[in-house]
Amino acid sequence: MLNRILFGIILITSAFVFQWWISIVLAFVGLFYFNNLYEAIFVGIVIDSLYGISPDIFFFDDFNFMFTILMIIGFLAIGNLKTKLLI
Amino acid sequence: MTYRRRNKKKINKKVLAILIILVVLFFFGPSVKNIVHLASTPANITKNILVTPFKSSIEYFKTKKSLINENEELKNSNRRLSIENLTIESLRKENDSLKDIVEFSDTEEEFYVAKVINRPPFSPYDTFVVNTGSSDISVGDRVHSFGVFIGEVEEVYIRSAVIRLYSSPNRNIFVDLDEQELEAVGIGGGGFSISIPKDIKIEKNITVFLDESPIGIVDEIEEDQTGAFKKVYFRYPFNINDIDFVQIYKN
Repeated sequence: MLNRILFGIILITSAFVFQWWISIVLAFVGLFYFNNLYEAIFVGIVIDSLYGISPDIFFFDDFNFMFTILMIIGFLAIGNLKTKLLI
Repeated sequence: MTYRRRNKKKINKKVLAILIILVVLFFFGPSVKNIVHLASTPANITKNILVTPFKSSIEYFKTKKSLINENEELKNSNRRLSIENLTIESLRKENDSLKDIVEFSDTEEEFYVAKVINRPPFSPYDTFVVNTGSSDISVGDRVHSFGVFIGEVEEVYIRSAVIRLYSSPNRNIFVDLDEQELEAVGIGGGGFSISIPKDIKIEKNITVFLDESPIGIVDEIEEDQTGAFKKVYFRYPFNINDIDFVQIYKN
């Protein structure tokens, strides 16, 4: 439990302080290591809020949360993979 | 054979939580962004205080020979720029005297100087975060640095704003290259690409203009042996990672 709390704090701080890709890699590592790491989705929200711009390729002009969607997909996919691998 | 039973309730809870997050972001996205930007201010100040002393630490690991070479190149470049500066000075005087003759009056544009608190490679899409907020600037204001228009204000928050550089991926602008108006596409990292017909001759190191002010220098020309077009790559005349302050001109 303590590991989870410490990792969560480091992960969220990294989204504010480190380069964006470091936080993404950390979040994916965390998703494999911990169950239901909602902090990973929060990292996506922080990155999108800090640097996000309207991507011309997206469905809605105002909904510029690309990294949040990436993290949600990662959250669901890795969770599902872990269930299938019986981890 | 035994099978592990799936916990459907747990999956439903997960899906419900994600749906709630998406709905909140869809309806209250701007408010969420404002809160994150407010929370990021102390983190950015701390980060800048911690990172600044280590910015030049990589210089200690350079070899003596590379430093001598770099010094020589910088001296040459300095000599060339001094000569060019003299020319600019004389042209400026000539321009002023011509303006006096035709009684042309310059309209003074209002601008704000903003400190860049986040820049690439910290940001993913060639965006800057600056410390000036909604009380001073608004979306669409043009951003200037080192005498070059580098981008526009994309989003404004209470105490900060996001600037999207023209070199941001898939951003299109019309530039003048060798007296021709062409469409340039941002490719990230302060770079642009232009597709032009093969028969147009373009040299390396020529200046590219945006609205009569320079925006970059041609860096690379890539010829496609089979196609009818070639790609011209150009970039800002400075490293975007070194920009500390920008001027924001009101529209």
